[in-house]
Amino acid sequence: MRRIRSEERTAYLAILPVGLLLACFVYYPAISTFLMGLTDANPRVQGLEGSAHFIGLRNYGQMLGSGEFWASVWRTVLIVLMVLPLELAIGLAAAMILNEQFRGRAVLRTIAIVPWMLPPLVNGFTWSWILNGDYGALNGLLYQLHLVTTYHHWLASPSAQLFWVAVAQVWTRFPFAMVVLLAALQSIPQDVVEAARVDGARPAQIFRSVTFPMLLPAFTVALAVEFIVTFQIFDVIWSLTAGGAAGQVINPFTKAVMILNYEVVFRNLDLGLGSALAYLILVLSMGVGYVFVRMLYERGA
Amino acid sequence: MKVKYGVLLVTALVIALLVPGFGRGGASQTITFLTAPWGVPPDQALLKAFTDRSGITVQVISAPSAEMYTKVQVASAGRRSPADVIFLTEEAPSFIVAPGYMEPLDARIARSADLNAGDIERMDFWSVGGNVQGITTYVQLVMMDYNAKRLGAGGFAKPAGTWDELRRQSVALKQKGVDQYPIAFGAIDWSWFLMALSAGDPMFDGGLNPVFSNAGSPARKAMATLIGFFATDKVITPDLLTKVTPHDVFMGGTAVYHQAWQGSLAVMNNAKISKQAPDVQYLLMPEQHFTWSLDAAIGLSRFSAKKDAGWEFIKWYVSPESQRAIYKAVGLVPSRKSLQQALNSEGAIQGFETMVEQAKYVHQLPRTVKWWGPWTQSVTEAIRKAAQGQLTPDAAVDAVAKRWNELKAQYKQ
Amino acid sequence: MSGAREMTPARLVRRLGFWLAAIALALWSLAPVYWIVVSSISTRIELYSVPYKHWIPRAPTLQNYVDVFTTGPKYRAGGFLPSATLLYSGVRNSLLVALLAAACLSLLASLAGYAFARLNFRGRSFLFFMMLLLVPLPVWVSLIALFQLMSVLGLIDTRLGLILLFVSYGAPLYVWLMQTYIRATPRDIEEAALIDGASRFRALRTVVLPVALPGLVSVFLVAFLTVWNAFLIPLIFTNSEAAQPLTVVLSLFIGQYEVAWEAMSAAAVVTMIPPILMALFFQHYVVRGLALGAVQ
Repeated sequence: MRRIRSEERTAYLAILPVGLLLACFVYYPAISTFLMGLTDANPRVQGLEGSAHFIGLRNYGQMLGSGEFWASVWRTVLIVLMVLPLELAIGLAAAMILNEQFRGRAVLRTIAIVPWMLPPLVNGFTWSWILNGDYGALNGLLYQLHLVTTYHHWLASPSAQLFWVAVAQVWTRFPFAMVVLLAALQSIPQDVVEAARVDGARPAQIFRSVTFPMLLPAFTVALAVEFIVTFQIFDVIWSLTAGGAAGQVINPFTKAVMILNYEVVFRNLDLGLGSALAYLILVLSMGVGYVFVRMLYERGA
Repeated sequence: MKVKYGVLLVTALVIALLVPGFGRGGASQTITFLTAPWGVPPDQALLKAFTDRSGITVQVISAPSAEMYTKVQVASAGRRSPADVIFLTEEAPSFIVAPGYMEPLDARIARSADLNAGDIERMDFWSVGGNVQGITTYVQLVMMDYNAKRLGAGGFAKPAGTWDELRRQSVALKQKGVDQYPIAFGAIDWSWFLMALSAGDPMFDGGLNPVFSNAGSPARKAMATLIGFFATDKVITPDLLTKVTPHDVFMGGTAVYHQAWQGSLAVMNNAKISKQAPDVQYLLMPEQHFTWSLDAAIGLSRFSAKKDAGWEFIKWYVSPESQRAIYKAVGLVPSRKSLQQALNSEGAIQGFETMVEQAKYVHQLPRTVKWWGPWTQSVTEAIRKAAQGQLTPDAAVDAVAKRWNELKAQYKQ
Repeated sequence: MSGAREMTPARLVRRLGFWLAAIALALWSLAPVYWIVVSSISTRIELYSVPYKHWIPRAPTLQNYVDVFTTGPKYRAGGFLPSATLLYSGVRNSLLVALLAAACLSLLASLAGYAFARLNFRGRSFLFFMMLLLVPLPVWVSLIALFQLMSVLGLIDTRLGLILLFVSYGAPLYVWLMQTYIRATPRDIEEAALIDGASRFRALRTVVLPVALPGLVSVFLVAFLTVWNAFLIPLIFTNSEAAQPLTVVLSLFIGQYEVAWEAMSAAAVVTMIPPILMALFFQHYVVRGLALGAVQ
């Protein structure tokens, strides 16, 4: 009994600092946001002297009933569907390459996280620079390799805009999946893998029946995190197709949910509606994320 | 419990390292100036002289304008000061001034003879709700420029005088192979405003009702022409369907005609950064010649605790020597009439005559109405959808007129 | 077992495939960065060359770097870089904040991750759920309340304030990560240490963490890079060189009407150097951690 109680005390002590920080800096503002979502707060309408009115759940009704909201959810889902498989596949492949022993491994490992080190603000601009239809590097490269005869305008159509947003996002985020998965790969005891190899298992079999199951918890974390990150994609869109240098124009064809949230809060100054939208994004992220994680856990079990 | 002491030690170390961060802000004469990058005082020596004279140290915070407004709104919505002095760019009236985040300056202006406010142009624009909210720092007519040499290569001696002529010239330039994309206009609200105004459409009546959507209005024709540039004539590069501004395209050597600004020649004729140099000239806007201006101003945050020091800085910022330094560095045309004349007599302003001529045709858009920002977003969306063939030009005009009336009703509630 | 001799061609193909994959990974990661580096040593006019791009600049120049570190480029509307001091203070603030935040996060995530992975206590799954619940809440709107809170606490424009924010908003993810890594470590060594009379904290430090070191290092690295690259939070919560990190200082390169590619590229290269050094430094520890793990 004494052992259990001291174990509990240890546990509470260990999570106390995190708990305090979360209560103070995360929960408190989040709750005040939720309350704001029940009002019609808009400083531009009410001015500094006026005050907002309590309107219950009307903001939620307004959002759920707007075509703009569902269109942005659909766009976001398309981006997620393009990004997640590609990103996790590349991240996993990179982690497996870097888990081998070979000359130059340390260098390659550093090279592979370089995309992530580019400041996000610069990342989108870099891609728009590369994809430039009039004097961009991708056009130049393809032209010099004789793969094209004239420069192509990569971002001309709305679907192409979504596609390149996804590519830029994969490029900048795959190192996260790689780092997380590599650490998990390194924790797999070599003797287990060795034993399977001695038993005559093929590499693909070893991966399926030994490596991947042990990788699954970390894979799940990476998937869940990247789902949320991609669902809430902002920086890349902002600098690649939405804002541009002046930043005062939001491109309708790449308006993902977070871009819509930004527009509602900071362009329209509709703080009430924006707060409600933030909670809708939370619920959507949680809901879909939960389904993902459950599916994986059940497959792994 | 050795670890516990370790944790304590690390915590103490961390706090010790960070303590110098505390207790700052006690230095009473340090103020903060939040600005877009092009508002950063360019001449460090001049700024230092101001500090030495006044005892006021200025911390400059610069950010792209969208992020800058985010910062202002986060702080101001909670009635805190984002910075003492704030630079007001073309979007500021709707995003910062309309919610009441700026300090009225009338009393300070009246007290400050040294400001010489009468010398400063277009102060009336920054009077919102009966109060002056900012002091104009530079003036910036929206203009057009063109590459005279390449236009000549297409067999045209003079720039177009009407939009139809401009369209015919562009198609000819494209066919003759002078330029595949002879026009550099963005698929954004500004392009349409510019074309509609110059064709003589006043856009709004005195009661802020849209007249641009009247049957057969010049604005409707302007929208059709603009969409035609993208969709049917293909005289604008498809890159401008997503880019906000057309200037990079033009500087890279694409296009003969270009939507520009008062002062653009200094950039476009700079051979180090522009392939169009040195043949770029202004043209007077076609047809009825009208345009509008995107001036900038500087003002005080309503929530600042150091308004007096901030005001001293503002007076210095719009002083002739500071404006001269800004013009020399980044080519922003000073708001002081006396300084404009002085610079012109020194021969320092390219294309001054066209500028002066263009300045006679200014028709301000109602950018200080509260819903201007949300409305312009809908204009850009309509233009982009129309350029992709998802809307007809007429439907686009109808959509933005409808949106205007909706927003007007919402804000007048 | 099939003979090793027959395996040789297959193994050769596998090796070849492996090297092709490794090269592809390097190209994919580096190609865009290569273009940034080229842009950073080119003149603007050379960057506009069509249809042949200059993959190696014909007139390479270090002027863009000189501009970054001294007076700032003299182009329209690109603004002027502040004095070099602001840049240096940016590097100092970025390093201090990123290092300390990553260190705090590693420490707190190890403690809490261990508790969630190995200890039995009432409300464990509930607290775990509550910790992760708000991770997907967009911060935009919360920023207003957060700003009020931070100014009441006097934490605006301080490095401490930034660290507290990064640690608070990062903690759930890293606790979750550490929890999975610690769970993967074998239980028996820890049991042995406990039987020998070690406290839980001591067991964590001396037995569990060394085994979970690759995980701990990855948490530190991920946290460091995330904080290093943050832009919006520091922009809003800092005002001066007392706390402003490099990313905020660098946003000066975006002009009103144009992006100065060459200047921004030079600035981007400058921003990337410290984290690359950090990553190289870490390779050493990852490898050592592996060796340690193998000994156990």
